[in-house]
Amino acid sequence: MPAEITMPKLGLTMTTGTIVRWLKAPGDRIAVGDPLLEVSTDKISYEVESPVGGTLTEALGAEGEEFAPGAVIGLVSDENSVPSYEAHATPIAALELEAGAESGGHARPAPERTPSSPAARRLARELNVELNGVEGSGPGGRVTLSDVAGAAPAAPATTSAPSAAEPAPAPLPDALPPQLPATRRVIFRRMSAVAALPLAQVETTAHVDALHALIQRRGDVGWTAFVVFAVARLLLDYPVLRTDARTGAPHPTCDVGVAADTTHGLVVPVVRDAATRSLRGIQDEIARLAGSAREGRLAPGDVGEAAFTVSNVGPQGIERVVPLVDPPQTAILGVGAAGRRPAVVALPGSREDAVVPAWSITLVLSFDHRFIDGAPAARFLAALSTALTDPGILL
Amino acid sequence: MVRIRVLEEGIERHFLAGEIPGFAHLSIGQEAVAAGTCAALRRDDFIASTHRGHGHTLAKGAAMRPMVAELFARSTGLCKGKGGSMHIADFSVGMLGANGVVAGGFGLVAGAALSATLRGTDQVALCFFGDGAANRGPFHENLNLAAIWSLPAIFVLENNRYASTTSTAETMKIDDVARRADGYGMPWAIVDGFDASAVHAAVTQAVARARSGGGPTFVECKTFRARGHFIGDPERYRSKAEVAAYAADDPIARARAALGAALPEDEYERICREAREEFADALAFARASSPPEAAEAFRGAYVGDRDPATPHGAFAAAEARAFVARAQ
Amino acid sequence: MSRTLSFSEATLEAMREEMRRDPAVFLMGEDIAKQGGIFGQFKGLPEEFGLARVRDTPISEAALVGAGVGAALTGTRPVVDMHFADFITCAMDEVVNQAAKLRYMFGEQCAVPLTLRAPDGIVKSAAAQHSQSLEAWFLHVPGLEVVVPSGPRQAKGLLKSAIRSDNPTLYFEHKALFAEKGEVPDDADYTLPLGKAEVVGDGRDVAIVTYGITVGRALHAARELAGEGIGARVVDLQTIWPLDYAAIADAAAATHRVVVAHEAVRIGGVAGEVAAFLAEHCFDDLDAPVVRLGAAHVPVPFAPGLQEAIYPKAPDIAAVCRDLVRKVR
Repeated sequence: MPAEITMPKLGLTMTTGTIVRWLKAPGDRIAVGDPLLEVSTDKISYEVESPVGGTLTEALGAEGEEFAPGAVIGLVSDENSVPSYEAHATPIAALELEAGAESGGHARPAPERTPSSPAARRLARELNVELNGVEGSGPGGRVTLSDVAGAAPAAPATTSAPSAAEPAPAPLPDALPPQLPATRRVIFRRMSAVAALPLAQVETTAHVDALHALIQRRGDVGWTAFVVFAVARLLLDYPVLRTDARTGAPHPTCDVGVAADTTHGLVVPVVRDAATRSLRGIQDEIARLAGSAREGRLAPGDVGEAAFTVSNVGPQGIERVVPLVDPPQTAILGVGAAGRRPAVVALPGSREDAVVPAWSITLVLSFDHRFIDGAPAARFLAALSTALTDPGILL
Repeated sequence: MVRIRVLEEGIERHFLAGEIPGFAHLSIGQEAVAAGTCAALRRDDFIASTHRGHGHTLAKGAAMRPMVAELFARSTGLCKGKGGSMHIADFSVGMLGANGVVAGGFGLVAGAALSATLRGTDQVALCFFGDGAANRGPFHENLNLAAIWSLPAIFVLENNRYASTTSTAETMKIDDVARRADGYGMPWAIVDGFDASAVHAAVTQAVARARSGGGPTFVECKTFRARGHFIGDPERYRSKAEVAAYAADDPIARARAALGAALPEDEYERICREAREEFADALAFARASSPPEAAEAFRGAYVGDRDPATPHGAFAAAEARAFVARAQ
Repeated sequence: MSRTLSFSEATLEAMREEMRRDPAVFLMGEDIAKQGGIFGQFKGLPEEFGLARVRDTPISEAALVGAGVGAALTGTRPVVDMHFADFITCAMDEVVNQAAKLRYMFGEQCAVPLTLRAPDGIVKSAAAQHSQSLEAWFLHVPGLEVVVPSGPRQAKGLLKSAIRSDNPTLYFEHKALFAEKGEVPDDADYTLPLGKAEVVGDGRDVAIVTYGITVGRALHAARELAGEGIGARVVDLQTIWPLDYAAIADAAAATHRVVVAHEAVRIGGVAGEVAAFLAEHCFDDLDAPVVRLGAAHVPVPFAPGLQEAIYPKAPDIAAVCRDLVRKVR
């Protein structure tokens, strides 16, 4: 169980304390006693230390916010604990979705010991390759020298299928920063490679009053499920958006990856064949995958080989994210938080437009321009926006 | 004999005082055999001895200082502190070592005798052994070999009637072990082991035979060990009365009696005093010497192992380094 | 330049050269002078050097070796032939408690420049008491050197070095190798240094560390593997003690997969020392477990079919190499 960081009681008369600034950020590795944040009362300033070693998973209070003594302001998971998903915006959202980097194929379910030969371990140390991320070709899945050597450049396009596109060269320096935590190394390498890809984006804001009302009314499905449901069906109509960069041909099934944050870092469990599932089925599958991810029990079949990925930062209350494509996929959708924002509508019975509060979400589609042009990307996004605006189309 | 007696009694005292590690086997009572035998040998003749070898070593010509130092486990000992009482040796006087294996000396003596014939010298090789060794395989094999090859060897049995805790009465069917030499076609003699002159005469004859190419001789000396098998032996296998009876017959007393007026009292006193002074000097030397350095343990097993350029030397150096590293 | 000699002829040549070179060298053993050795390995020596220097002994192994030690202590350089290595057991005290220890116990007052020749190994249904390979016992006794030649050239070079060594040296010559022919240099003084292994081939996929008759079997396996694209290099240890640890380490660094093979019993065999060394000192070079091949833990049986079943041959070595390279084990 994660350890709660609470606002300390700094004196008998203290009624509230203010978060002055966070000294660590979510995702940072913490040692016992590390200072996490600075708080102050009208009388004193004080550094709150972590009671456990592990990872800061939640910084629940923002800088400048006031909390009563004893209020939970952060969560630190210890090494073996699981992520906490309580108290977030979406009522049924079990999955934390995070923008940006995806881990791709090899988020191992549990930090069990990877069987590996001594020589492989040494080479992995020398090349800063995360053994956990290497597929072992030895007996019993043992990782051998050649496996590590093959994994070392960490080029995202690892297979050698004939492809019109060459593997992207890594333009950023490969040298790992020495204090980079182990869990970030694979991501570091993958992103270093992605940086060379010609990525473009198209963006739109979908007006989702109706969808919001529907979600509220039903109570059994969340925003992510709807988005995945819609995306999966549209991928049938827009196969170019599910092009596999290894082959240049569309991925055969609409396997939609859903980016999630866990104590072990980013994982992207995949809803297989999402286009054949019902909305409720997708919700259930997302919930199942979220549960597995929380408990570190994702099966190898639960991750990797997605055709497309959805990254929802709504639970963090963030309105817009420009995600990076996760090769060999060629497109990814970033979904912002549904929120009430000013919208310009035409009032009935008036020649003037009015600005009214309305529910909207921001959608950003990033895509690999080597395979997908702007126009098809734009059409896909427009279709998605329409589907979310008028959910009756889908159902 | 007096020197041997003084040495052995001194070793006994200091062993019991805790200054001598390991085991020690005293030859008190058997001095006549060692003295009489070695007096018949040249310095360049060879002897091989037993675990009860202090008397043989001294009689053959080793100095007391490095002998005592060896027993005291000092680097100045004859064997650099690596052998101790049971493996004391002095090759500079032809003493091919005390052997901790009963009957271990037979092969060495046969080989040394063989070597003399091959090298064309008239050296002889002499094997001291006890009644216990007469029942081991190498006794038989080497007696036979020495006989068939007419090796210049002499086999001197110190029959003190006990092999550790078992008496000759229970370990052999015969009283005179020398009769076994008949089985190998080897001449033999039986002498009174308390009588140094008798021993000397018999061995002299055997040496002459050997040196002239007449082959080996078996000389059985009937003797008695006045002390236990080893220092600290509770001697449950023989009665105090038996010990007393034999101890009454002392080779030194016998020699004095035999010499009579030829050995005046003050001459005898002088011999004893000089022996005691020699031992005291050896004792002081041993006590003042330092034990071998620990790193020495890893060298000396192979010719060449002090030279790091050889495979043996490289390995020994690595072992010594590892030891030094562990010790820090 | 070289000529073809049998292993037996090569050892004979070595004996002859050393006996000519040093008058202190002499030879004794059972059935050598008149018979010339059961493999003909002493033929002609009595005629050239006389029966004083080439002696038949009674069947008295303890005296034979004991006298060898005594003679070595006192200015000669004996070569003692054990007839069959199995009979060293009849002289174990002389080898272990005398030959191996006198120099050390006596504080280097003496040396034991003794060479013990011991025909060993499995051949022609000689059965349990005439077929053993006992080199591992003597690896375990400090003070001894142990040498195992793999062919005629090595037989000559190593025997000369063994005789010249001032330390007691056991020379194990496999009975089935005596008739084997090979190229032996014309060099009048061809010696091979003790303590140095010889590496055959530069394969990078697997190393086969071995010695004696198994070297030929390993080379056969290596040729077969080469045809399958697997590069195997053979490390012929030549000397069991002092062991060429550096050569073993180099092989592990180059190939990352090591098989250790010998005809001697696998349990408690020399391969154990090699494997332990690899685990202790070459751990990070290993991409696969170190596999040992050796004879089964039974006495050598008489029936030819049974005899052949118990010890490793070329196909067994090749199979293990294949498994390692293909990551089956």
